[in-house]
Amino acid sequence: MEYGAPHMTLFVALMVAAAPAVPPAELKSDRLLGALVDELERSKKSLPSTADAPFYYLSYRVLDAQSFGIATSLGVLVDSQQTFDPLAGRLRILDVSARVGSRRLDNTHALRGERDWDLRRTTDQLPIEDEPRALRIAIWRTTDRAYKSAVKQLVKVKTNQQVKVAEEDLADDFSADAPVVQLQPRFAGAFDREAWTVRIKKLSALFKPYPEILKSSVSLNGTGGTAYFVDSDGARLREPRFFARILIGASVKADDGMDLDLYEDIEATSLDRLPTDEVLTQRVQRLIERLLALRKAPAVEPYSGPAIITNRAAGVFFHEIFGHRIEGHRQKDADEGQTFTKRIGLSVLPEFLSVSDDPTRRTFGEIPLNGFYAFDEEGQPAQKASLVDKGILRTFLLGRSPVKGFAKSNGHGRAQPGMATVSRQGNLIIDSTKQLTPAALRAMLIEEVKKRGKPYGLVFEEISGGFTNTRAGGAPQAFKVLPLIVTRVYADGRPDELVRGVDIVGTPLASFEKILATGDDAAVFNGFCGAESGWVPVSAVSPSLLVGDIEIEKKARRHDRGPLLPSPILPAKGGAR
Amino acid sequence: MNALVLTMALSASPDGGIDVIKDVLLPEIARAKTLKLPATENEKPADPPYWVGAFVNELETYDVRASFGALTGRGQETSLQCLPRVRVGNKKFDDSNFADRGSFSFLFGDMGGRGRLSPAELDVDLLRHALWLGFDDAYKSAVERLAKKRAFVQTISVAEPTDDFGPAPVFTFDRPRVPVKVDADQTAALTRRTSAVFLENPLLQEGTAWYRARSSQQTFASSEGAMHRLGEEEVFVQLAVSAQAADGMDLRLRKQFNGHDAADLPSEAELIDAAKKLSAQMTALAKAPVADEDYSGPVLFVDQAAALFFLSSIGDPLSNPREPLGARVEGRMIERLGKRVAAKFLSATDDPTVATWNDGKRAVPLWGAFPVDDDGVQSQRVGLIESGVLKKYYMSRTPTARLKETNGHARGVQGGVGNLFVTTTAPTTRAQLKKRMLELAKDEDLDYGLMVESMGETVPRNASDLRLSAPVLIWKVYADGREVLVRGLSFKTLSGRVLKELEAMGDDPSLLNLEHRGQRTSVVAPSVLVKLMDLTRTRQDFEKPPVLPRP
Repeated sequence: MEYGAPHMTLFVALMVAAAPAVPPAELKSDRLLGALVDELERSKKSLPSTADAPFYYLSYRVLDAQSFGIATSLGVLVDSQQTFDPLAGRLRILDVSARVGSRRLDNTHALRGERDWDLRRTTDQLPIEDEPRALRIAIWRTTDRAYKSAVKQLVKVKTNQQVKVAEEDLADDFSADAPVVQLQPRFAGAFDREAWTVRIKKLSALFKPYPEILKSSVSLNGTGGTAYFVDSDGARLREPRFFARILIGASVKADDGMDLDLYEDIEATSLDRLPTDEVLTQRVQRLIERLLALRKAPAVEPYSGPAIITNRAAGVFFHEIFGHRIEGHRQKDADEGQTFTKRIGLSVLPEFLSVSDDPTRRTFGEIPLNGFYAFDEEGQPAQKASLVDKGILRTFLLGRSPVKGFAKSNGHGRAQPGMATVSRQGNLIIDSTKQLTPAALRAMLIEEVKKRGKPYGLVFEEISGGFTNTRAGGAPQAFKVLPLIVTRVYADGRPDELVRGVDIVGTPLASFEKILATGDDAAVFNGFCGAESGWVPVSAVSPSLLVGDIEIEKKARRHDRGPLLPSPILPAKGGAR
Repeated sequence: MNALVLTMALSASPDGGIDVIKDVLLPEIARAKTLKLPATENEKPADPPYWVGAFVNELETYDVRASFGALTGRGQETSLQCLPRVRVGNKKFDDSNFADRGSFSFLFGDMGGRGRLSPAELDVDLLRHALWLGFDDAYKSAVERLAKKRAFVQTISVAEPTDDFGPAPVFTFDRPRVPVKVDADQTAALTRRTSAVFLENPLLQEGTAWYRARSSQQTFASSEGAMHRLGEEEVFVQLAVSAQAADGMDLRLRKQFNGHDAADLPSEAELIDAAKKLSAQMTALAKAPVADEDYSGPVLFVDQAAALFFLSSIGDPLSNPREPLGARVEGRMIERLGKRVAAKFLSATDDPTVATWNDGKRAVPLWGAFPVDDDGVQSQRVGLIESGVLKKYYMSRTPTARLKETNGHARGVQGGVGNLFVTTTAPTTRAQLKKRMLELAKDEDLDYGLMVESMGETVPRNASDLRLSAPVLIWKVYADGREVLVRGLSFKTLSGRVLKELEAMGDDPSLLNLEHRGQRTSVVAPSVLVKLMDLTRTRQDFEKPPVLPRP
């Protein structure tokens, strides 16, 4: 049996401020939930609350899941492999959040001038069996540690307040959002390792006939399980979650020693939504063709000029350059660059662009969106956040840590299990009122190239990812994105030319001002995003962008020669077998 | 919950009909011998490697853990590792034994060849492809390293030039591994029931049982003609508990049972008894008083603590004898070859060729036994210390200034411990040892002596450090016969003379099997009384005990 699409029938869905209730039968049949609630209630009642350290909030978040992974190369399993034990990969991760102080000022308040590394003490693995005593002992142990850390941290926070100048953002530390009770069915399903192993192996064997491809791999990874959240305000949440990802990657070495990598990844929120073998085979073949072409392509020289960033690449561009800078916690942290902190109500993008982040959205067209969830890691229901309306910044991505002018969460408190929560992106969606067909966009690119007296413009097709520095001090607050497929489009009508060895560099505000128009071809980029609170699944939906000026630099490269001997596995010319 | 009711032979041996030596290692080794970097404008062509070898290491693990009666994880894993090795230059002077300060290998030691690759299934094409790229990378790195080393010796005069690679007779050996066979349901039930014992003691914050079975196989071949296939099996059960004393001190105790297969392990009833004993020991330890003063006086090491004492004072100092060029370590015990290093009544040998040891009741497996070492050389019995005089130390094919030839003890990169046997010509009863300790204590104006029964098994990073890990169970032994458990003492650094300061040794040899520096290791040693040692009180702030009682 394969993982089915999770059933989303809600059988308890309340939105009340006063203590909502969970049917007692539910606590009995779901013994993990029962153990969480029992220990939560006991701790709430019995943990001391003193005048110095008033204990006012406790929450438990658990991911009860099974992870699986198949990694292959040249048709064979690689890396350490779990075998067929039905319990292999089972895990239950508990995260405890204890708060002492008051909503106004508590132990979670950012310490200025120092970072806090004590967070790991608030997480632990729980038994994977529904044995209430063993579960409660593990929950008790972690609660005790989290409570003590909180008491200790509050002293540091108060001292930090005393010795530093008054803060600019005087917003509270914890929002007064209402608790929610929503129990969805637990995740049910099993992963057919045997069948998938055969399929994934077959895909990776497609690389075998190409001795120029030095490294190649195809892998499938995923997690299926149930997320829980309970807190001392009365929140009781349960939601099935599933993610799977097929990653295809390969590398070649150009004759000048430059290593060139290409990746394809395919995400799904249920295994039956992953593409068929036929489609996957095409993706591998396309990657091989592109890689071989890239190996022969000329290396670029630094350049700045007009360019089209195609839809999926534009999604990554917005995610890195815009999305990370409107995360709420960055607006409060004085050590951050705060690109947008004081620009609410002001223009930050061309007026034909609007941006929202909508984790309630399950699909875009036929494509499942990775950043979908029903509630966030702080027990708040997912909400659409309209970030930019016709170029004007309206709000930030918010968890339960309020920002000046924004007292409530908009359901974007996210974290990987085992990490503390901060505000993060879910499904970032870029809308445009200035949409052109791909042909018209290309014509406009050529026009811009001519206008600026440049010989050619660039088209960026795939972006493997990127990084952005949002912090003040130290390295510049610039970004770098790593395009994989870059084509020169000549103004004089010569055929397009593939080039290699390019990184895009720039500073964020300048880049947005130069967006001239968009395509009518919005598409989805699904991926996983890593930041302070770990890796979370995200999506970005964007049309292609025409940018008046983009700067590229040469990729750093190694100078190692290619292999001295021919590959041993092919009867190629000069081969040894 | 657990619906698995079959006995699993974990993924029956993956080497379906593949002869790794013949189909993979030999052809790729032959090709690697022809590697040659072409000439450039400024450089002559580089020589091909003069020696090429490779390991294919297979590992299969079954693992189940339970805490307070419930499973916390279970899994089975297989993995495979290719380790290509090349040497460039010649036996007198090659790219090895050099601490290249410009590279990470200086920080992390010799990583044993770059290009570690990890296929998970045996497949001729994949392994050959992996070795092809691995040898290519290893060769280029070796050529670079050799050039740096040549530059280094042009500017620095080397006191005792020593060859880089010693001779060894060509050895072949074949013992294929036995795949792990384990009853998943039975072992899960065993860890559940054993760890459930810890529910009965409310002091315990952690109470776990861990069952692990492993089967590994090392396949090796070299351009000199050495080749072997060495299969090894191991299994253990480990019980572990933690608690906090009333003053907040964090206390941890564990007990491990090990062997080669399930038949070597105790029965479930015996394990449950062991769990009860461990739980009771923890209660006693938590209630034990904290030492109120530093201690300087005689110390009696018994059982596990005696074995660890000798592992730290003999095994480690005699391991890894060759220092890389450019590193400088002075005053090591190996420098005293042929001289007195220990009390005259002490002798030590290491014999990896024996597989079992008779504890008086039965033949117990020795974990540190191996027929062939990590250089592909047949293992040998080595007399390390005879009547207090240092005769030999652990040798691999890496020569040293004093000893040039291997004695079949390569473990990982250099020579190391296998089965260490420490004996005495004057065995003394436990009662006599205690009596003698009290006499020595009196000379120090003490009304008690210290007896150490167990210590932590963590090891200092640097093998040449003479340091004992923290003691866990320490008893104050009084003249009136009282023995009182005490907490909160740790050893100061050992003196280099400690083996000469032994007062007496016991008539009670016992065996400790453990994983030491990544290698299965055994120590057989009797208790030992040291005339004078220093222990200091642990001065540390402890976190308070849990606020709420255990649920």
